[in-house]
Amino acid sequence: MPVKVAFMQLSSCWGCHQSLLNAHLGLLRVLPELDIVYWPAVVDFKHESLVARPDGDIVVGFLEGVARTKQDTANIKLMRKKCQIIVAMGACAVHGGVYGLANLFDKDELIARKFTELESISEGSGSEPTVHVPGFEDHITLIKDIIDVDVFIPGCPPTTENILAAIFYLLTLVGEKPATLDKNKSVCDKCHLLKEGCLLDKGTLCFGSITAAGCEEMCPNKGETCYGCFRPTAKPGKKVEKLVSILESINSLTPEQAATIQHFLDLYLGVSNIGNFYFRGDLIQRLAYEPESYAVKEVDGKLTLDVSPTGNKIIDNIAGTALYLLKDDPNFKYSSKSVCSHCEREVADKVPGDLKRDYQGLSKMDTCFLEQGYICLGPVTQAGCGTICPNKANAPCLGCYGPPVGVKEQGAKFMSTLGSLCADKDPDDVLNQIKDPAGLFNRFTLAASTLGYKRHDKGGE
Amino acid sequence: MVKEIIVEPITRLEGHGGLHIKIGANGKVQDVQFNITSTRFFEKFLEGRYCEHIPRITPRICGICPIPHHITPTKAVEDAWGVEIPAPAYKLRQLIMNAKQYSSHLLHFYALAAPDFLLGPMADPALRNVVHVIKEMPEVGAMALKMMDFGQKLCAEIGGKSVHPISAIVGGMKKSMSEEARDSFLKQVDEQIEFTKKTVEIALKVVDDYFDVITNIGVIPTYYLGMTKNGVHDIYEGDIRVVTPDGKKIDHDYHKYLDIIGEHVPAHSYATHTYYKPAGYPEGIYRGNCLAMINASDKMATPLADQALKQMRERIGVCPHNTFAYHWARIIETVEAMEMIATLLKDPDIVNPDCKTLDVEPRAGNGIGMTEAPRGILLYHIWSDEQGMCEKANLLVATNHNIAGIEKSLMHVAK
Repeated sequence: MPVKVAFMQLSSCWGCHQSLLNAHLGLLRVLPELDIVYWPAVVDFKHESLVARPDGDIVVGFLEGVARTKQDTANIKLMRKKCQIIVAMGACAVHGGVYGLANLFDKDELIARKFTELESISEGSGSEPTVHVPGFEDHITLIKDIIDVDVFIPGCPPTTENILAAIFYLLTLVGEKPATLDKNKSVCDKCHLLKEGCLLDKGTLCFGSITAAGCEEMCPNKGETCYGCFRPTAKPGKKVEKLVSILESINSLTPEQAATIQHFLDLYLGVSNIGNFYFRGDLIQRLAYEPESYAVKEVDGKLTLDVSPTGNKIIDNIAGTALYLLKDDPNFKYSSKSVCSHCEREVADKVPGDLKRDYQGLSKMDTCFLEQGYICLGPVTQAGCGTICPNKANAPCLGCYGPPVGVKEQGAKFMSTLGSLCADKDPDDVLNQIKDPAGLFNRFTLAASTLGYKRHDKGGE
Repeated sequence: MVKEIIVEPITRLEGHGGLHIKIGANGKVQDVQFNITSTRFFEKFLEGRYCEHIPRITPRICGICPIPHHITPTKAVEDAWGVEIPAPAYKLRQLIMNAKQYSSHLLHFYALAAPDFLLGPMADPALRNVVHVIKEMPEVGAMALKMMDFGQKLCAEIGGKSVHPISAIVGGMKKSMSEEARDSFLKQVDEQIEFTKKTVEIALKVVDDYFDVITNIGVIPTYYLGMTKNGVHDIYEGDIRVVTPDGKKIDHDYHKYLDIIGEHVPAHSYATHTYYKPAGYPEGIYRGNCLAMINASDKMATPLADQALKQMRERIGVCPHNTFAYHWARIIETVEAMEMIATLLKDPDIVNPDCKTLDVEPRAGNGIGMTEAPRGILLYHIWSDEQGMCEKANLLVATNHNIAGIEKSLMHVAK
């Protein structure tokens, strides 16, 4: 059965949708999987048909753009009601995008320029339209601060591959389940080792007891650990007590145990660590970058993290204990790479000379932009784009994928990067050469910025 | 009693549009409003940016036609700073503009318009879309996808990315095409020309099937605003040409656009109504886009397209006012785009690395850049200070030239 999806364009350019359409013949593979119930630019369903749907009727809803108008805000909330999973697609939906640069101005200034002051507006004709138009929000607020967003796909636009990967991944989560799936049983029920030779009895971690039955592969029957890819069962098997006791007896993880637990959490919780998109509920990512955000609690004298990914107390405690064990473990690995780490340009660790602007000369194709003196946001930008700008177009990275996971403020991080690159110079002198830090360093993330750029006053910061 | 019909949103339109139709007590249409319900204030937030970075912000005005929104402001800054570009850069820009014209026009024809023609306007709304066209007519669908793919890939090759390109810079282009890439596109040219010819056949069959509709519905005499280079159709460089409702052609230097184009701010739309200033508002409402370009041109720039233009003029006249003739005009432009692509790919300058003027210096002043985007004239007016920072910007965006004309057409059809 095709999965019901909706595509909502907020105030935006439609470029993310165009990036999806750029799959062209690849669309023939993805379209049959989708039951498109709303996509105004492509299909003829009207807004009232969306309103009329029962809440939660649509499985995946994609949002492109920002909340510039009050209609956008209403549509964001409407989509949250109608869709089970909300995907913020593209730099605008994730970080505010270039339209966030409007936050440098007051709403009145924006409106005055657009509807009154423009040189081509006939004298006296211009004032803000008010009839059958929705009105504007004061400034651009991130969608995730308006509603809960489940999945984020950054990029301006995200590449075709990024979007398709996200769609196919989501289809594996919400698409047709195997007919054999039985959430009232666990993997243990069909395990040949249950009576004799159980991996848990040997002290090996195996998660079959908390995993729904129905898989044909049955890793434990081959003597291998069950990592839980059939996801939670409603009725954990008897062996769950053994699993709990093994976890509770661990004081420090072996490298194998750490890898097993991380693999289990990835599959069992259905979080992706693919890199081009991420989930709000990604507990592992949160563990890597905001471990302090977890509350620690004590259960039966043992410490666990307070999480509830499944709503089943026993299972949630197991997940919490697993996360707690990983928390400070040196074997726990989570990486979020920057554009630089994939860039083919040569780095000679040479200090840049004077900063150059991009119209000056012509940048060399094979050497790091920063070392040539050109501003490039590669070091503070999330990888995933395929490094097209620096490696194919001879253009520096503009930062459209936003900061790597774990970096809160792209602009601030770049300023400190630039400062350390130019260590032989006075950092203030370097930064004083930059006349528009907001436009250069927070081009796509100003609406998410905590830097508090002053409102614009003629060329000032 | 006054009744109101609301269409929300208008579908198969990129952006946000609604329709309010007011019907009077006598059952007759009193008023039609085409409401554009979003705008993003580029005209303000470009202030304070580096001028050379404007072309790396403005593509986000439109994801379907980001190429003209990348090239045109670059031309405006070059105009402001007095920068000349080398011939290879000029040709690379012509090539990427035509590649975009090709893919965008085909997207429009096959994805936005054709569902009505090929499946019929009364088809089930659940089926009246390109997804269904692909299902019902797999051969046509696959051909359409291959054509759009060719155009978009060529844009990506030259622009870095097809959506939100990055390769144009004040003074030229950041890189030329590699010989290897050029060869791979050259190999596909013959097939694409065949596809183009097949598309013309499909379009002409639609013309025959719907000839009554074309000649009778939405025939609205208006002004037209296009761009020609000395009378020849050109989407990269030229001057403004206005065609009056009775078919008279008037050329204007685009640097004097403020005397020619006015913007009226209606109370019911965030998109302004542009009009031909000498005729005033609303009398001077004009239409832009492909039919305007066709009506403004004495001839097309390439032979097959010129032949197609003559054919159209033989059947519906020299300056047709038929709204449905837009689809026909779009096909003629598509043919020209493909012929231009073939010619430019064979030009050795396309792989010439001398594509950037090295000594570029900012100076205080203002400059104007103009191109023909796939949906109309695109004009950027940028004011630079002596350090090359943007003081202010005025934009006349392609789609805008059609808003007032569309409203007029809708009023006509609704009545």
